[in-house]
Amino acid sequence: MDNHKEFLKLAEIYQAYSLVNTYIEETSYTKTSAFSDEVIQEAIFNASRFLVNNLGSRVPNGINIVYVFYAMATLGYKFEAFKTAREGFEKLLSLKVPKAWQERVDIDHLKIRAKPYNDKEGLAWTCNRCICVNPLINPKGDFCVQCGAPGIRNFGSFDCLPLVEFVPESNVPPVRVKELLKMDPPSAESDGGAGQPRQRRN
Amino acid sequence: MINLPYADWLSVNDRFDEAQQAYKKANRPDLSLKIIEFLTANAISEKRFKDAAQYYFALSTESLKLVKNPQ
Repeated sequence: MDNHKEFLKLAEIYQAYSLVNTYIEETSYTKTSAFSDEVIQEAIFNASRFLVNNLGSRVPNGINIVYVFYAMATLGYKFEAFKTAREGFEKLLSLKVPKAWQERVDIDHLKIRAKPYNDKEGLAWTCNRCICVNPLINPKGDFCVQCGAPGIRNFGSFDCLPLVEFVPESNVPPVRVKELLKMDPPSAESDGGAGQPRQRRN
Repeated sequence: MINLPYADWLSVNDRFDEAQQAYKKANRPDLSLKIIEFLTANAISEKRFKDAAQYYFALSTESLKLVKNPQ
């Protein structure tokens, strides 16, 4: 069972890393426009944040951590997530950066010091369970800092989906659970009674 | 009976996905897992990370199946 969880996590990590790896290799060695689209760049920024959150103490084979932090730092700078970018650049200082990037990393690291030490509003992930605004990176893991609910990511663009896992009470039969889920929530005007079942179109 | 030598033959002839299925039919999930592990390591060293993710996902589902049928 532990094996299953670890393999699943590694599968997610490699899926995210494949995106970051293609981005870095394509943009540093060729001048293609495939990655100039802002939506794709945001997906790569999300993927790099997902990797930083999930890698923890793991060092999976073949994953170049410099690529991850470089993508996070440069794209964070671009999306005005200065706090995240600064953390990325500081991590890069302790790693061995390819010579070709060294000058750019040093200059960007200087430039980012002139920027405010916070992330742009609207980028932060709001936990769907406790409505707490989370920081962009949480190296302890990919969960809410307040309530510990895991962020459920979409593996295309790596943003968090508005999903909350819940378990119905064991004494409620499954058929009744389905009925209750189809009902409207009780409105403020009614006296807290259950709403009428909603008409559903298939 | 015939599945095990057939699976060996498939793996010698580079048909790893089919070999993995044949090992499963031959009731040798350990060899099937070994094939996927080998494919995963190759995918990583060749920088095919999407394939690596797919193989890790296969590994995770296979290891879950082993839990359900402990033999």
